Amino acid sequence: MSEEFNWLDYAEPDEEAPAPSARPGLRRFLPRRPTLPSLPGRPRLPSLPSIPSLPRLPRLRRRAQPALDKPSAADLLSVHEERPLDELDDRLQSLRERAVASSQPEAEARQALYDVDELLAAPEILRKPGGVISAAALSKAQRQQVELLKDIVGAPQAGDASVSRIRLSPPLFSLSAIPRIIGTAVLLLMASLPFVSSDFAEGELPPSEFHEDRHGPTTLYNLLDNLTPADYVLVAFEYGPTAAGELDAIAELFLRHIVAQRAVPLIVSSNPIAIAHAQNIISRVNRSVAFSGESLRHGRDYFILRYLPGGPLGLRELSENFADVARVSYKGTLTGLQFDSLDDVTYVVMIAERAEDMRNWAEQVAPQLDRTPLLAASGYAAAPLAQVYADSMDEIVGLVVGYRDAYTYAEMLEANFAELLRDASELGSGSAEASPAKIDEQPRNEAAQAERPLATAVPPASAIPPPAVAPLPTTTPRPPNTETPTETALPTATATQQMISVVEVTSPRQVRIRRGPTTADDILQLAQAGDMFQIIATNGDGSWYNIALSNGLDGWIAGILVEEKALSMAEFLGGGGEASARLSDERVYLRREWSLSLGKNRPRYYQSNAPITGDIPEYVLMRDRSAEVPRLRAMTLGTLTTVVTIALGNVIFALSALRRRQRNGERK
Amino acid sequence: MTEQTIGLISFVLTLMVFSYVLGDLPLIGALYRTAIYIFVGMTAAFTLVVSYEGLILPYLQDIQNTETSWTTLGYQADIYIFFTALLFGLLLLLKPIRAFTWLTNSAFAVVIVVGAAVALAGALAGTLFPLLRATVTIPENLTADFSALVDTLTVFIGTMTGLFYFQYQARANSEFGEEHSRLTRAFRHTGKVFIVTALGAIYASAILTSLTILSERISFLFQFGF
Amino acid sequence: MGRAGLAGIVAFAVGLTTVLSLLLGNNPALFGDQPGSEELARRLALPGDVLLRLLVIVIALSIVIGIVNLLYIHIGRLTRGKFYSAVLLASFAFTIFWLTVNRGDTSLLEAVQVPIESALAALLFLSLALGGARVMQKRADIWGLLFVAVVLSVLLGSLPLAELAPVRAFSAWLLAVPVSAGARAILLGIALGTIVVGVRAVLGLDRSYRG
Repeated sequence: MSEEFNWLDYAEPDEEAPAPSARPGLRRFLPRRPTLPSLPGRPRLPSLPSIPSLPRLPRLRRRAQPALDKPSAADLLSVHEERPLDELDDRLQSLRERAVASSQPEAEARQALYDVDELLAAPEILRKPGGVISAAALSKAQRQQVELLKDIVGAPQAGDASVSRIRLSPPLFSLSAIPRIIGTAVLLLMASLPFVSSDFAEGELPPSEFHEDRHGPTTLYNLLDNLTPADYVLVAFEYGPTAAGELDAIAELFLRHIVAQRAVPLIVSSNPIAIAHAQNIISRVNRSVAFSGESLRHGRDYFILRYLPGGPLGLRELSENFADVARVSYKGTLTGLQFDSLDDVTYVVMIAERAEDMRNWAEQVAPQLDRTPLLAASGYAAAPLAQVYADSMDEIVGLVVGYRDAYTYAEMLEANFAELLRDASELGSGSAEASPAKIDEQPRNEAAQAERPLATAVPPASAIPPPAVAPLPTTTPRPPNTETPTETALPTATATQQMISVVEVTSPRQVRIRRGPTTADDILQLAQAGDMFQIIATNGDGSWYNIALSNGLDGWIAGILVEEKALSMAEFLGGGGEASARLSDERVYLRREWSLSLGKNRPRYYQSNAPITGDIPEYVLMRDRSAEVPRLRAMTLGTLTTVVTIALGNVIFALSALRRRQRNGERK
Repeated sequence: MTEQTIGLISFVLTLMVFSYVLGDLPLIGALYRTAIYIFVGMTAAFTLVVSYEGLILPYLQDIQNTETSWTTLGYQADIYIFFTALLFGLLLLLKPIRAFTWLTNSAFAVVIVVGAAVALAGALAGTLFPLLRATVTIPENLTADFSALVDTLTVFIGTMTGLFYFQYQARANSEFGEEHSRLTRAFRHTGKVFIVTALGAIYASAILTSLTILSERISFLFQFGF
Repeated sequence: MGRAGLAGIVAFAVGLTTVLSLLLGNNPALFGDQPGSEELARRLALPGDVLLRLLVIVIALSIVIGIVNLLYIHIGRLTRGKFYSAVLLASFAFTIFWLTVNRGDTSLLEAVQVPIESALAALLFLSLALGGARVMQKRADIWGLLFVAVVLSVLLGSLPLAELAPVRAFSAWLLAVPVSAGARAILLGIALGTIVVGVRAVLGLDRSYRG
């Protein structure tokens, strides 16, 4: 190879050469591959929809050699198969190995049929052999791993037909292996140190809130935080066990956040193993709250919908026929859920392992969404490409990326739920002298309380000991054998005839309520046509209204999307107002929370001005977080070591290349 | 399975796979290889079960009667669909038999063309339009902020030259051969800078992902075993 | 024409139907405010809907066939005394047995599959890190240098060290501007390729389904 060899402009082998014929005997049941000669320059048609021998395997393998195993490489290089191997130079040999690797039946199978687009579109840039990426990505050891996988799925081997002996990695005790051994040892050692001692606490922990410039993750958090018990959220688990170490954290947090507010997640996936894995995550959540008598039940608190095979095809079916998909769960039981379309769910949440998952959702699902936002999270590896979709499409909110963002998300979530508790308790004790006046009205509200469906999911009344902390009078009338009201609404004696200014949403599309009076501010909540909110203030020119939200916060809404009205309080609270849009300080609730002290779970009673949400904070607060900090430290040290390794290695190689070039120059 | 059992099995299997770093020594290599084969067998089993329980079983319920049917088309229409699908599956098996080639080809034509059509519709509405729109849209506050203007322009130039580089690469390899116009060269090299930058970022991100997963594994090993 | 042409005609008809059905169906806004527009949109969506259902089942079936094929290969090897094929088949059989007996208890996945796949993905870290150190060995030129520089900037930018704040800012800019531009070019290139091939497939210009 000359010095000028250009990794991107490398000319492919002659495509007119005869393509190899189907190898007899090896794929008896597999359809033949197309033998049409192809011009490598233009995108290729999908190869035959051959039988997928093992749909999960290629994912693993693909991680081992990112972006290289496009089937076209096989065609490009298969022409060299007829020549004796030794005649080829190093680069071609390695190319050939890669090419043969990608002609594995399972690779075709996966890509041919249901990753049609991926295959069609194998970007030219990624297809070029011998590029920078391949130089970096595919070590000899990895190629041998590929060989092993090929052996397993019964594909033809690179070399001779003998499959018995495949070398896994270079021999341990050879001179050439020394840098590799040292590198491996150092990398592993550095990544392990934080687990041994807390002295290696390099770097800061992730922030407790997303950086102010990152509107996507903040908006995503706020939206999920606005769920109410009637809401359904479609949660797509688009990652398998390979990415469990990275994405379980965020998937679990999303699920906990959703169920803690008693919204119902509907779990789907186009990855078969991910469906099974999602069940494990639900079990994990259930184990963590088992002590409190809570648990998630399929068919009531969550649903796992049927499998969506075929990548883009399955997702298109989801978005076109959501009414049907939602009516049947995994294993064929009917769910009883009635939806017209995906726009009837409150949010679509998607957790992606690979950039293709994001692309499939952006292409097949997002364009079908009119009102429902798609909230996206991904691992680091998918982020550079996935972020483009989050930035470019209005329907997509995000991206929450990787383990560090999961930590921040957890911090926000726990602070928020702990805040609810603390606020409630402070208010309970602080306003003790004010409360007797309100208690008088309590019996009147018991009737309203009885209608609350929320009370059903708390532990039975008999299990509740008398309140240990009693900010409210202990004389609260409570029939001994009926269900204990956990939250009692106590409207204060406000003049309900007082006129207030409200805005009613008139825009037919979903309207965004933001933190400040510009479109650049974070989104706090979404509103539909007909929703009403009380006006607190307007901005200077009156183009934005500052409004009171149901959760006690205030937000801003654009004036052109709403109509201003004057209503009496009774009217506002009664008919016209949006169910959740209430004035936060107009009501006081008695609520019970559970708290863990000294390993025992104790109920506490609070008087609270929070809205009735029926939140179950255990789901959020009872996570096992013991591994988080050492893992974050390990990632920091590991990254640092990687940086040093890469820098050092490349400097050495660059210097030796320079010296070689000099020597060549002298010789000439 | 108790958590302890799960932990123990996980611990052993993790170490078996990690034995890979020791190289292919006689006994140790067998450990790694055994783990891989266990993994493939189990993947196949889970995939089979999920494909059956997650899709085929629901459809079997669906086509029985009105009560268990869950599609808007109704169970009778679904009977036709389901059995046509079975026929397609059968044709997959018949592919190697020459006499049926014309028939199987027609079936495959349907499969491929529907797949291509879905991909086509998706690429139009989900990638091409939104991405082009986002690239050519000028943000509101642009005039006030000079650096934002530069960034927007850079993204625009980068996207366009990158795309040009793609198309050029595609054509240079097939029809036109090497082209020497100075302008195309400049375009091509500019595009290449952006593409290589993006690939570098993707590579670094892959390192971060695998490091996160490594940290989880090491954390597990220490928690459980050491 | 003849039998071979049949596939082409079928492909063209089905492809055109699918594309039109997907683009026009379920979108009443296209047909104005007339009373029948909703019904029309629903009807237009029907062919695409039926084809999608059909294909999804075909894919599920083909996965099953593929797995049977895999087992077939390994049973063949088993008869020739290959040890690892026995491991694979045993693992397969045990999993099926477990799922049947325990009514779909997925803890086996947690105990076996997750650790193996995670550990493999973790090993990838070593390969990627050491591979990254060798870029200049194979490509000692300006592009290799650029590649390494970007990799290092992004890695450094991910580090939560106070001293690295300027690098973090640079890395954030790098990701937001040049990487974003390159990524858009890649995604647009993919989309254009998909569209070209999709159109060719529907029009029957490329017939890779011809055996």
